[in-house]
Amino acid sequence: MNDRFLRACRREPVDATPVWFMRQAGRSLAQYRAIRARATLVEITRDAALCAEVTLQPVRRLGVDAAILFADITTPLAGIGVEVEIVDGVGPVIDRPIRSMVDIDVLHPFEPEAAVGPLLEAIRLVRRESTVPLIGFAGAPFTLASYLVEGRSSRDAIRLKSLMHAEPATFDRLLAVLVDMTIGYLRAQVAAGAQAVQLFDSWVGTLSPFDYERSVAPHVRRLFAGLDGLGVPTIHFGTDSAGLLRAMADAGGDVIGLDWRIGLADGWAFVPDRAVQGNLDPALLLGPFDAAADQARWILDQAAGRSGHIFNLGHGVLPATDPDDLRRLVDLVHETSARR
Amino acid sequence: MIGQDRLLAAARRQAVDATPIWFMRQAGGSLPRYLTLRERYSVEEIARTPELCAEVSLMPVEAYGVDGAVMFADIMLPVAAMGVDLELTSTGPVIASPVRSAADVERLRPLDPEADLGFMLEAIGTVRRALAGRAALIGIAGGPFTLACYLIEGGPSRDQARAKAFMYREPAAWTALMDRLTDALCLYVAAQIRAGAQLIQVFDSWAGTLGPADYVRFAQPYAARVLAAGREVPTIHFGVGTAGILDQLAAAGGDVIGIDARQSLGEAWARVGPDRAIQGNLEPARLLAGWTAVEEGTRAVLAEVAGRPGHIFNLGHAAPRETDPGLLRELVAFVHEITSREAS
Repeated sequence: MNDRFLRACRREPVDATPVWFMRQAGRSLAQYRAIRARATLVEITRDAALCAEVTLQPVRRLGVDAAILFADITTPLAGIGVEVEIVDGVGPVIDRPIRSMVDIDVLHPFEPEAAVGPLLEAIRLVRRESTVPLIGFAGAPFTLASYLVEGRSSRDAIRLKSLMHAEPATFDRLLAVLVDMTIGYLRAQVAAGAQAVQLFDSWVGTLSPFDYERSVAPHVRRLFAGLDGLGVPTIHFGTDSAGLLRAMADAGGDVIGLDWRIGLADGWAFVPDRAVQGNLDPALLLGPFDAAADQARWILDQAAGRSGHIFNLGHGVLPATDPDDLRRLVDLVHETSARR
Repeated sequence: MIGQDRLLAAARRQAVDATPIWFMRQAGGSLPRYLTLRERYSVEEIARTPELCAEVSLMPVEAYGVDGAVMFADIMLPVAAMGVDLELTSTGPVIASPVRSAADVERLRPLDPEADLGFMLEAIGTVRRALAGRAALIGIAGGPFTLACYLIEGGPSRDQARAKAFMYREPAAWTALMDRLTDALCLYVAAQIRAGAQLIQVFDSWAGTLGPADYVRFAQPYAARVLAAGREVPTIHFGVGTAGILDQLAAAGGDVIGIDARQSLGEAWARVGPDRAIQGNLEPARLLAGWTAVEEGTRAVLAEVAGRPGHIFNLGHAAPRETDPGLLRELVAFVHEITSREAS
């Protein structure tokens, strides 16, 4: 078993910097597109064999040091009674957004086996076959709430923020429900075999530090506390989070994910007692490989051989990315960082 | 102090009797007089008709009592004058034929501000005379990177992936595009100052989509030129999502650095240093939640400033269009009152 990813999460020495890519299983791979030609994203997450196959594709094709469970951040929501449709080119769409306490009261408790049984089975299948650790994942409560309240992805999450300021009790109730769900979801993933978990807070960067610390961090802190004792490393990632890194780290996470909009060394300086993950701009892989290679080396220079760096992109792989470039990037990171 | 002096003094980090305040996108919004005008005219017609543009730009001074009057203008106006076919929509500019090649860049013609944008310069003169010092007149320009993003993407984009791909793949065409835009913006800024603008704000809204290394290479030199073109008056340099590149953004210039709501104003000021003034940074979404939320956020911002000279109060980004005008008026009075007590 290749354990450099898990060692880096714990800030232990490694033979070379581990690397994986957010959204490594997805549209940039021809093998994935072939499966998507006959199954929707939701169908894949409800078919254990297909889901395991899609999760393993990038491990074989790209040579990454970790697999990440293939699912959407909205996948568990059906398990509490929210109907989500994934629309190509738009993302998750919720026909009946949550606007009031009544909408929250009708949600029901999350029962992992009933809600996401095939996904948990996929984890077991992946563990049987994979030569690298498997990362489980979930969306963070603020990000899930933004889909539930806005009805779809929203650049400024303004409706959710209005709810947070104008009706704090409703906001807190919604986040509490989502935290309960997510604790159950992630604990079930670990019980099924996930060896690390990543919490994605895609929309957290729309918040001010003041609002994050007061209205969101307590919920995230409770979520991480709910994972205590599982014995797996936790990764806490948000986009556009350069102004929030300290507050996010305070809320939890053994590893703090950095997006590309901050220098890796600057970001690490905010969270010196954690491992960090990141942070190449995914758009660089749309240009000539040399430009991406230069910045990858710059990122490794900033890590300066310190224990506790996991190489990743600053956000998900863009669909137009050439997988050959991803493969070359994996090799470059391993070769450049090889410890003698 | 009259509004004009208050804003200019704060921009120069001099003592003020109360903290000056204005709002990004204050002209327009949901002011009843503006909504009445909009029933008869499009946004574009208002911007291109000096009397209407002047009237709309002046409205917030009378309605809210702000210390700055920002011109009702879109950052894409100079780009349209360079021969680009574009439409201003509620979600942003839409370009009929986006820039996709070096040949497309070649087709952008140089800007002659007096001939191409005379209507805006005339409106600036009218507003300046009508203000008579009640508020300082703020001219605006987009940052070259932001304008290039719109030109290449053709419309709004969250990640600017197409613009960045062009930047990485065609560095020569990118440089040519940025040089042309920067030349035009420098002329536009200088013309606005000649016409009567007393401050210039450069909106580099999308600069925050770049990492620090790419910002320094692909955007910073051009933003620096535009800011230098405005050096006769105080300049305000603003971007969104800039917490990770603030050092580099400040290094490009600006007497005042505009801070969005996604970072702590106090920490941001510590990073850009005491030799700059700072503008910001109330979370705009609070305006949709009523006065209690506005007051709480305002007190938090002022607590971070802690009475230091050189703070201009503003939102962290544009006011939501549906903001209640009464709330903005209350906010201006509140900031003036609470900070004048601190000052005395």
